[in-house]
Amino acid sequence: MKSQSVLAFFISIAVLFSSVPLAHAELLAARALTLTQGEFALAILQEAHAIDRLKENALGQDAIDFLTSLGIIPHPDGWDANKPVDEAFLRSLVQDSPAGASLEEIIQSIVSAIESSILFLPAEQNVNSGSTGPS
Amino acid sequence: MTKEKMRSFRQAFPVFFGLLFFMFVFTAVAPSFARADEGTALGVQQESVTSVSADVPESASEADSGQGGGSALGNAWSNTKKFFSNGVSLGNAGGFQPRVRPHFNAESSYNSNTVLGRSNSAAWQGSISPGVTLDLPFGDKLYGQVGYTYTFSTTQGRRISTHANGHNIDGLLRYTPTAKTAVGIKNNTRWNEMPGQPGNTFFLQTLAPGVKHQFTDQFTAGVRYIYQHYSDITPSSAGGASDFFRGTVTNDSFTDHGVTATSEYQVSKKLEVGPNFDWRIRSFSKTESKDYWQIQPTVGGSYQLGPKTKLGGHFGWAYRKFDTGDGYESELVYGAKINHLLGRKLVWGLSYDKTLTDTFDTGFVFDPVSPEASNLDNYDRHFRVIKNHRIGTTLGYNINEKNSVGGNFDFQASAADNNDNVVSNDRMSEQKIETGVYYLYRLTRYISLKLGYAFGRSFEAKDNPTRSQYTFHKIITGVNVAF
Repeated sequence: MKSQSVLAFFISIAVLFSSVPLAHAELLAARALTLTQGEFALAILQEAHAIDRLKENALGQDAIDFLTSLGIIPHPDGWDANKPVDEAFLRSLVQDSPAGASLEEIIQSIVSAIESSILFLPAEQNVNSGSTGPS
Repeated sequence: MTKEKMRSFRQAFPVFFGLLFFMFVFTAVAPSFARADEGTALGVQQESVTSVSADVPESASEADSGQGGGSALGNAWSNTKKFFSNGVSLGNAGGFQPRVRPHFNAESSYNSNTVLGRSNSAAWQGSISPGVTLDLPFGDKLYGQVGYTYTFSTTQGRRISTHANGHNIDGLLRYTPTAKTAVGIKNNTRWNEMPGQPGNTFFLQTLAPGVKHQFTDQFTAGVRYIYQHYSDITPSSAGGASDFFRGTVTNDSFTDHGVTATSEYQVSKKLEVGPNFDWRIRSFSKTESKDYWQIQPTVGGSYQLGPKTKLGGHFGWAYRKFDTGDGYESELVYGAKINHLLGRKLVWGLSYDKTLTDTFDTGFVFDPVSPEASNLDNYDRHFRVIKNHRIGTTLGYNINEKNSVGGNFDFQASAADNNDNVVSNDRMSEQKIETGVYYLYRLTRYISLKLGYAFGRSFEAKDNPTRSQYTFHKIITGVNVAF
C-alpha cells in the first residue's frame, strides 16, 4: 500500500506538469550570444538536464569534451572554449537546420539531441566499484 | 514462493499494471502535448527572445488549453505553471528560476539467464522508476539540483520469482564565480533491495566535493575528494544479504576516502598534457584483510586530431599496500581512447583501460533498472585486488531528430593471484564480453521509446568454483518520460 501511495504521488506530479512551456530555451537563447563556447556548453548541458553527467567541478572545456563524445560538434571548425558564440555557430550544431529556424528552435533542437544521446548512458561515477584508473 | 512473497507480489502487481495503463494513456495523449509545444516554439516572437525570467509571455499551449482562463482555479493553475516554468526573478543575472521535473522510466525485458549461471534461468524482467528532480538555478553562477527516484523491479520465471524496491537520491551544487573557476559538491545515496533477495537491503553513498581553476590560458588544475560508504543494512533478523552465487551470509560494509589532483597544460592548440595524482584508502568492517591504501601517479594527455576526432590517453603506476601482512601490489596502469564523428551523424568511440579494481558485494549490478553498471562490473568479492583489461567500442547513428540507433561491444579480462583471495586459495582468471544494439524513437519531446538486444558471455572462470561460465540473451523494450 505504501508503494502504491508513492506511485500515485508521482503520477499526480507528472500529470500536473505535463504541459510546462518551453520558456527556459527562450531564456538561454536570450543570453547565448553573450557567452563563450565553453560557457554555452555548460549552459546547454544544464538546459538538457545533463549537467550532472559531468564532475561537480567541471569547466567549459569538460562540457565541450562531453558534447564531443556525443557527436555534438560545430561544423566545420569544431569547438573552441574561448571563442564567442554567434548565430552561425549555433546553427552549425544542428543537423539539417532549417534556414528560417529561430534561436529558440535551434537551442531546443540541440537540447533534444543531447537528451536523446544521454537517455541510456550510464551516470557519471554513481557507483565506484573501485576502479582506480583515471576517469 | 513463500506466502509473504506472494502477498507482497500481489500488492505490487496492480500498481505495476496501473502504471503501464498510465503509460499507455499518456502515450496516447502525448502527441497533443507535443503539438502544443511545437506551437510554443514556433509561435515565439523575436521580442520574447530578449525577455528574461518572469517576463516571458504565457505560452500558446496555455492559451489554447484554456487553463489560463478567468476562474479562480484557472488562475491558480496558470500561476502555478508560470512559477515552475518561468521562476521568480530576483532582478539581476537571471534570478532564481526553480524548475520541477518529473520523470518516469519503465522497462520490460526477456532475459535468458537472469542469474548468470551455468544452467539458464530464463525470466521476464520488468521495472518502473518514477521520480522527480528539482532544478535550482540561482542566477548564472550558482546552480543546485536535487532529485529522488523510486524503483520497483520484478523478475518472474519458471525457476525464479522475485522483486525489489529501491530509493535513489541525487544532489548537485555548483558555483562558478568566473568562467575559469568551478566549485561543486555532488551526492548520490541509494537504498536498494538486493536483486534476488527481497528484504535484504544495501546502502550506498557517494559524496564528492571538488574545485577546478584555470590559472592561465595554458594551465588548469583541480582537486576532488571522494567519500564512499557501502553497507549491507539488512536487519539481523533477515540473516544478512546472501552472496548471489554461493549463498553465504556477508553483512559487510566498507568506507572509502580518495583524493585526486589533476592538471592540464595546453602545449599547443591541439595538444594537452598533465600529471595527475590519486590517493585512496579503503577499509572494510569485517574483511579487514582487504583494507588498503594506494597511491597512483599518472600522466594524461589528449590530442585534437581535427574538429571531429579526439585522442586521449594516460600512463602511470599504482602502488597498493594492504593493512594486514606484508602484501602489496605494484602495477603499471594505462589507457587510451579515441572519439570520432564520421560524417555528421555517426559517432564512434573506442577505449582501452588497464586498472586495479577492488571487489565487494556487487550483486546490485544485476538490478535491471541500474544503468550505472553492466554485468561486466560484477566481480568475485573474495579478492582484495584484481587486474583488469577492458576494451570497448560504441557506435551511435542519429538518423534524424526522432530516430537513432546504436551499438556497443565490450571485452574484459580479469585476473588475480591466489594470495589475493581472502576467503580461499582460488586464483581468478575470467574473460567476458557484452554486446548490444538498440533503437530509440523519440515520440515527443518528453517521451522516448527504446528497443534493444544484448548478448553476454563469460568464456572462462578458471579455478574458481564460485563463478560460473554463462551466456545470456536479453531483449529489452522501454519507455522514458522526462519533463
